[in-house]
Amino acid sequence: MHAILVILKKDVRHLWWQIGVMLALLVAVGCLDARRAIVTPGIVEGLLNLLIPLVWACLIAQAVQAEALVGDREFWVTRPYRWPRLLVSKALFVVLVVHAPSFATDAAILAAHGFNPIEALPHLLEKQLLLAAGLTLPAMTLAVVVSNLMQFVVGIPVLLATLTLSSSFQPHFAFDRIRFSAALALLAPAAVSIVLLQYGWRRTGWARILAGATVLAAGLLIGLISFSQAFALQVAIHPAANVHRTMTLAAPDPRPVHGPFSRRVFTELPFTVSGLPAADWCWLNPLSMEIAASNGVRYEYRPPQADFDVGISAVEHGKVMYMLGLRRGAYDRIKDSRVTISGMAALRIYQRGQAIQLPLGATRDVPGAGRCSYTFVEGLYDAGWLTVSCESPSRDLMTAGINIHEESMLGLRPAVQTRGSNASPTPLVAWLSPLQRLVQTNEIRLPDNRTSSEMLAGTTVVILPQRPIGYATVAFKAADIDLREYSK
Amino acid sequence: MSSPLRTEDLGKSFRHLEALRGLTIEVPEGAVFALVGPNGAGKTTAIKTFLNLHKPTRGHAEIIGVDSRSLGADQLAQIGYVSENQKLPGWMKVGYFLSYCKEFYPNWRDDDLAELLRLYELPLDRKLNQLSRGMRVKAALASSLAYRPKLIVLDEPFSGLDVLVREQLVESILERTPEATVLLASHDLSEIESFASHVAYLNEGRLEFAEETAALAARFREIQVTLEQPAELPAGLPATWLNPEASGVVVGFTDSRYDDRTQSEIRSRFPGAREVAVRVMTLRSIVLALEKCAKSNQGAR
Repeated sequence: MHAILVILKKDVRHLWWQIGVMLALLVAVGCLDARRAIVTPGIVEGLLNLLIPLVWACLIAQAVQAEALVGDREFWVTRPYRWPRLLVSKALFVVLVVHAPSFATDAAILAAHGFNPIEALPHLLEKQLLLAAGLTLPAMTLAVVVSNLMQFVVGIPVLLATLTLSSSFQPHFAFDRIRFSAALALLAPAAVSIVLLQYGWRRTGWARILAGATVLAAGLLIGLISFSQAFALQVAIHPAANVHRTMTLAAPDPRPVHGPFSRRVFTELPFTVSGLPAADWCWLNPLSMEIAASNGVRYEYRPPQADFDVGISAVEHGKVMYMLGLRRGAYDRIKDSRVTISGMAALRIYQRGQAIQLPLGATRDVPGAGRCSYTFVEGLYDAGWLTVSCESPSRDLMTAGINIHEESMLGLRPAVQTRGSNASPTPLVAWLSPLQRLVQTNEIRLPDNRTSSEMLAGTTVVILPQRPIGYATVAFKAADIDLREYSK
Repeated sequence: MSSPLRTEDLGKSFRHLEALRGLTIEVPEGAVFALVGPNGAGKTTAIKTFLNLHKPTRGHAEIIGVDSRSLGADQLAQIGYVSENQKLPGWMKVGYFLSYCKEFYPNWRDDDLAELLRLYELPLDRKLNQLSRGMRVKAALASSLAYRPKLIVLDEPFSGLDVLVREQLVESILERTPEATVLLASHDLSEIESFASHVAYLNEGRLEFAEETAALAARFREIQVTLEQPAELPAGLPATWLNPEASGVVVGFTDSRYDDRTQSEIRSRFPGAREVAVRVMTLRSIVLALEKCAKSNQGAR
């Protein structure tokens, strides 16, 4: 233990001012996050979310390189170091300099937003685990196989890739969880093996080969396994109730179709999904689709390069509007023919939770949606914004289905929801934040003769959280249809 | 007496380069063992293989009683290593560097360190990367002598240092650690001649000889034979007569097996010899003669 502390103390002493800068940056991002109510961070907070991981990575690299494992000229290699103690001291450095401050900042942010950090402990620990898998472990791995800091800097794109992988790591019931989980499951043990191999035996050649092979394998895993293959595995792991489901095409919806647009023709196919309990609600995601026209033209859904794309749609009361965006040229080739559309869709099935009413100005805990508040922000002129915002330390907020209905007579159109924060680090995403946020905003106009308090009196929203319970697939086939009836 | 370092048929190859070819040596306890040879002879490779910084590709080395491949912290705590190209933590101040090293050695002696600091006049508050090369070597030596290692391994530590500093360092090593065995690699023969008790000569990874310095000095002589009249070199000269040359009436060579019988051998080979001059050789001139011989043998091949 003595040697571990001696090495740790030495590294902290060496890097004290850089650690100080990192702590200052962390305090800054914590303050900004604690005061933020919206999903998107400001430019300063966004940049800090990019900068802090880089500073962490560089600190880890410098600490590891202080006793560099590559080369035979380092002073320590002929000193009586015991490798397990050296490794433990470096691991302690990572915990002390990266994970502990990050954990403390997260706890402070949660407390500032009114959450009890003790109650949120599982979520806080889960975040540290993802941070370890996505940043600190890969950074340590890179640092043990490079000869110097310059080589480490050259390897930073690999770190950004693992960071993206980790921060894109979806909670349960995300549509594409398997591939990212598998890639992380491959990377994390390989990284541990490489670190052990280097500290225990200093086999740089083998460690580099293993590192390269692992990165390649993880890339192939994500690149070569198709979404439908990954989803089939997810269905096997989390199957929804074993009910026979069918999808049949209904008559064209009389409501106007999107468009017209010069490059794309939008076709809205109203399907009825049978076999779903009335209370259930789903997200539907295409796995495969083929459009075969009677004139012999066939199109297959092969994102990202395809003659058409298909959006993710919500299934409500057994009905779903499947929207195809066909390239105009592709549409023109088949518009005069009868077509058959067939394929397979993925369903993420939700169970309704308890509806909660939220009057304007109130804040309540909504099971499955976190802490929600309903506020009005008056604009400069005659506009204002009614905003429902929900915050939760649970990553499940990202996949929860949350329906928010305005119940007064304002006649507001359904508003777009924005969610954040754990996604790939960019200046627009506060991926370091321990809070998941959901915001739905409606802009309203205030007539000249009424004040906002008069107009908004009694305004209430109903929040209906819906919890994902499983996956299913459903086949569909609509034969002999005239696309023009469904298109614009 | 046990040997703190012995090797048997030790070899080390880097891809297609055979840097060490079957090295077999035994360093006696308490010896000052000089490993000499030209640049690229394999001295540093040999030392790094002894210290498990390189894995041998054949043979084995035993250091402080264990196979070099199993060299661990317990053995390293008894070895002091200083090399000319060692990377020291330049950000550390001398005082902190020494106190940091102290934590790893159970036998560390503060009184020895104090004496070394006084002797070397090391500035404790200066960072290692702000020191001159000589001062850095002194700091490294101080950190390697203060725990009285059983084996001191020095890889070209004095190259580039002025004579006074070199003498001071050598003296300090011999005085501070009189019971230690010293293994010193150098290509500068003059720097080791005065204190090496044993010499091993490496050339192109191959050990040419390894023996006590005194015995070496005793068996090498520079011979100059003056003849009555100019003559060609006779054929069939002994193989131990190195670099024979004839110039007019003078024939010169280096005898690598000089003893009482040499004079009579010379008289029988050169019956018309007017004068035979025998000169004692320095280590430097012995090695130069060996190198010259090796080159001419290579040329003949």
